This record gives sequence, C-alpha cells and structure tokens, in this order.
Amino acid sequence: MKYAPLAAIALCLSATAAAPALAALKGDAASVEADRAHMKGFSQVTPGAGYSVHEIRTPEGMVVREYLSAEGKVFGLAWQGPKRPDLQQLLGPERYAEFAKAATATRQPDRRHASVQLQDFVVHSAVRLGNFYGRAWAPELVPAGVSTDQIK
Amino acid sequence: MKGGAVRKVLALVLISAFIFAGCSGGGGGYGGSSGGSSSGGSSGGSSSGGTCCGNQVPLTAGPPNVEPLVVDQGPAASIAANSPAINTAFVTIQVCATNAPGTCATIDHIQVDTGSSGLRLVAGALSSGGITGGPALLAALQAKYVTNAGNVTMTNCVPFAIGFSYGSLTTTNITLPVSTETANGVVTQLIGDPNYVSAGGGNIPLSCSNPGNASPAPPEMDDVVSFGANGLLGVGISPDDSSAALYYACGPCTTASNPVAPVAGQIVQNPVTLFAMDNNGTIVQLPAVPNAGTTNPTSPPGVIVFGIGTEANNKLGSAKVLAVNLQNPGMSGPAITAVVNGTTYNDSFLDSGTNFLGISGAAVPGSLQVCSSANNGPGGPWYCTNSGLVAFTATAYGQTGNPPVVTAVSQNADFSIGDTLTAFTANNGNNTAVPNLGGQNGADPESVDFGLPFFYGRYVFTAIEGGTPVAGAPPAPWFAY
Repeated sequence: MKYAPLAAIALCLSATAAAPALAALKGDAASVEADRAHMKGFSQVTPGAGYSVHEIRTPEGMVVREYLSAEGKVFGLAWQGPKRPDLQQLLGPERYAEFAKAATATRQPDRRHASVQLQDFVVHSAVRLGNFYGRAWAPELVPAGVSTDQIK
Repeated sequence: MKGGAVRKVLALVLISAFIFAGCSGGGGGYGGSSGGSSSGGSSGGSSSGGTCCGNQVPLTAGPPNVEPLVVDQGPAASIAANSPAINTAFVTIQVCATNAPGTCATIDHIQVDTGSSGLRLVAGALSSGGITGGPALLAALQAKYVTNAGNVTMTNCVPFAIGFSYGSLTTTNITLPVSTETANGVVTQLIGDPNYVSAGGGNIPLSCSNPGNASPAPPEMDDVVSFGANGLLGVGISPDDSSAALYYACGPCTTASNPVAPVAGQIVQNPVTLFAMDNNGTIVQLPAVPNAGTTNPTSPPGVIVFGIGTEANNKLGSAKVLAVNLQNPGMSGPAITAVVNGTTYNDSFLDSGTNFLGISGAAVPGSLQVCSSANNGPGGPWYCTNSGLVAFTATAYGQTGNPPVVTAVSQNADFSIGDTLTAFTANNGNNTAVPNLGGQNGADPESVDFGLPFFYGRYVFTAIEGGTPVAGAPPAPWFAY
C-alpha cells in the first residue's frame, strides 16, 4: 500500500469544501471528495483500464484507496494505517450499521479479524501490530474482468 | 500497485528455488546444532483421516522454562455464555501485587498470543471469575496504578478489527508456576477496571472507543466473554506494545481525552523480555491433532518454551529461521513471504492469536467457497467445501527490504483447509482444536495468516526484536519452525 502507483499520476490537491457526507462505497467521485475532506487528507488519482484509483493520504499516515468504475461508481475500498478508519464514513451510515450488526451477530474468528458478506457488499477489517487494514466492495458494481484481489 | 515488487520477488523466488533445487528439506537454513528438538519437518495434511500438520512432540513441562498450555473451550464464563474458544492456546499464571507480595492469585485461561506484546488481565475475571484470591489481588492492583509525573493514572487502549479493550495500567509480579519463570514490575493492563470504565469512575475516551462517533458504537471487549479470555500474555516480535496501543494520562478520563506518548516505566512490555535468562523469544509447541478435530489435546499437552538458544532444551534444532521484514510495505505490516500453489504472498506471518488459517487470492481453489447464508449465516470469513480436505502446497521464506526480497532460507509450509461447518459441529460441537480450520484473509489478499492451526505438531519460534542473538540466526525479529 505504500508504493506510489507506477502509472501516470494525476495529482489533485483539492481544497473543495466538504460535500455532503455521502457514502464512498457505491457513491461517486463527489463522495470520494467528501471522504477526503472528512479525513483531512489529500488525494491523487490514477487512471487505469476499466477503473480509476483515488488514493487519499492523511498526515497521520492513513491511506484509503477508492476504486471507481468507468461508470463513476465506487465499487471497492482498501485502507491501511495506524488507526482504524472511519468506516461509517467510508461505508455510509446504513451500510456501517448493517456491517457492525452482522459482525457481532455472526461467529467471527478472533479479535483481530472481522469479515462479513452481506447481500450487496463485503467488508474485511483486520488489525495486526498496530497496523489497521481492510477492504470492502460491492460485488454487483465490480467491473467485468476485474478481480476483487485488485482492490488493495 | 505492488505488481512490480511482486514480480521481482517472484523472480527471486524462482531463482532461489533454482539455486537450492539440489538441497533437501526445502532450503538452506540457519539450522543450529540439534538440541532438545530432534524431530522436524512437516508431513502434509491432505489425507482426510489421520493426523494433521507436523509431527514434532511437545517437551514435558517443568523448570526452568517449559510451561504447559491448554487448547480448550476457554474460561468458565465463556462456556457458560455459549461462546467457547476454538484453536486458542491458554496458560495459567500466578500474578502477585508488587505492593503486597503475599497477595497473589493463580489465573487460568490467559491467552498466549505471539501476535501482540504485553500482559493484560480482565478485571472482571478477578472480581467475579471464581479465582481464589482474585478480588484481593484486584484491590491491591488498584492501589498500584502506573502514573505519570503528575500522579495521574495511565490507561491503555487496544483497538481491534471492530471493537476495543480499555483499562488502567498497573504493575504486577508474575510467575509461570510450572516453569518457575518470573518477571517483576510488569506493566500490566487491567482491562475493564471498574475504577476507570464505569460511569462513576470516568469515561472511556472516544478516541479509543469510537473515534468516528459511529452508530452503533464498536463493541467494548472489556469482560471475560467479549474478550474471550481471563487475560492475555502477548509474546510477539515486539518488545512492547507502544506501536499497537493508545495511552492516556487522564484516569479518570473523559470522552474527549486525547492519547499521550508514554515514557519508560509506563509502557506495556513483552513480559518475556523481563525474564532473567530466557528472555529473547519463545517456542510454542502444540501436539499434532486429528484432522477430525479434538477437544483439548493433552497427550501430550502443548507447552510454551521460554528463551531461544538459552538452555539445552530451546535450541533451533531442525527449525529454519524466517527473517521478519520490518520494512515490508504490504497491508499487514512486518512479514515473511509464502508461496502457495504458485502464488506469492508477501504479507504473510505466523500468529498464535489467529485461530484459523487465513488466505484469500489466487491460490484458493474453487473447491473452497465462503460459507454462504444458506449454511452459515451472512458473515464470517469461513470456508466451506464438500471436497474433504483441500490441500495447499506452500513454502515459507524469510524476507528483507523494501521492495521486499526473500531470503535463501525456506521451509515447507503445506497446509489443508476443510469444511468449517463440519469442524464446528463434529464431536458434538465440542471441538476446540481443529487443524484445518480456514477462512478468507480478505483484509489483505497478499497475506497468508498462519494462525494457530499451523502450530499443531510444530515447534514455532518467535524471536523478539532486540533480543539476545541466537547462534546461526540473523538479528530478530524472526519466526522459525
């Protein structure tokens, strides 16, 4: 997660005022900007074939990558850093509540892992040695030919 | 984003595989003289009957450095709450107050965790866990808090994948009763200390409990059932928890309290580093268990051996040393490399605090499917299959640098994953040791989390960063088996 993408990087140091706190997952580019503003980070966009990656970095070392399809929808998220990110912001309040409820209602492995597969989205959250990391995606929005393993 | 690095490492793996093609046993090694551990290697685990994993037999517990473990259903409260442990190793520790040396309690079901550092005790286990002398010990520990220069009680917060544990810091003297290993002045987290988590004693800082002010709030894991143990003995690669925990100097805190940087004397240390002699690491030795799973394997029981190369019984023997890369750029942090079914996983690690074998990505065959809502509810990472045991061909490598490169040392890491529902329901639902329990490691598709099932039948060494060097091994941290 700490490498700069190898492809051409379009750096956009956006200073736009915070947009409404739309969910990033299943949201659009505006929701990515809302996340960036919420995290007080800066972002850069890496265009790619079939999707683009919007990477948000914060001064305290959090990295969030949001994957936008050609249709402009956020189909996946990945995060890493010294804190657990604000999943309510990244997933959206309703999906966060659904995730939190499912994660406590189902048999999870141990304190360091929480994974849920819900009707329309998937979340994997983990922590190890003070390093928080995880991924989330909306399966029906993942572009054809793109593996969820590419969300990272 | 790591494609270039992955390809580079894979190329090196292929090169080293070529170079070492003539070697037997999976690679060259830092194998020292053969000491107490004479048997070695692993024997695969793909047959549906029989016994899984390695064939090494745990040492007999006793002085000066071998402490027995159990892999059972956990504390009485967990069993009563129908929340039994699985693939979780527990130890019993005698804990004494530093301010009242005769005030001690022998606390069962302290989880042994090679994936974190520090001693943590659940206050509720002492106050109402049925532990002889528990309430008196709790009172003594509450009279000996770790304080800052202003005499303000320090507290400590460990955030987890969704929840957290929070409590005061106190000091303890501990003895591992069978091995007689002792450590004094151990800075210890008192999880759920009612003096600091109740409404009357102060609130938990939101920066610990719920930084995003999310609804519902992340679960507080401050009692025995939610924590899953009476305490935790973190014996990981770090000498302390300063990179993994939040510290506060505000007891009693408010919801608005902010973390502080702890200084020496306030930091939760890896207790092993405080032992007189055997202080540079551990060996977790669990018995081989049947593929069908079992309840608390005791013939022989598992043990944790303290020290590496410090006694006649804790030499590396046939173990291969796998350097842990602190510069690993991957999502999971410090790591080794595993090549599984031909796919490179550069963010891999061994961890007794993970109770399953975690793997996602290209190495997972279609015969393993995430247990679906039709058979296991809407969640969890667990794999289900109707193909019996699904075998993975794997090799583990040490790793260094950024971008990461693998070391010449490697070791066979074959494992198998079976059907989780079968594991949970077989043996009348009483399985506590299941060697083929597996699931997605979905948070990082480039990581294999070699959890506790991998430890069955193996001697798994965890060398602590900064510890006394071991002859023939690189500087710690490293894993070896």
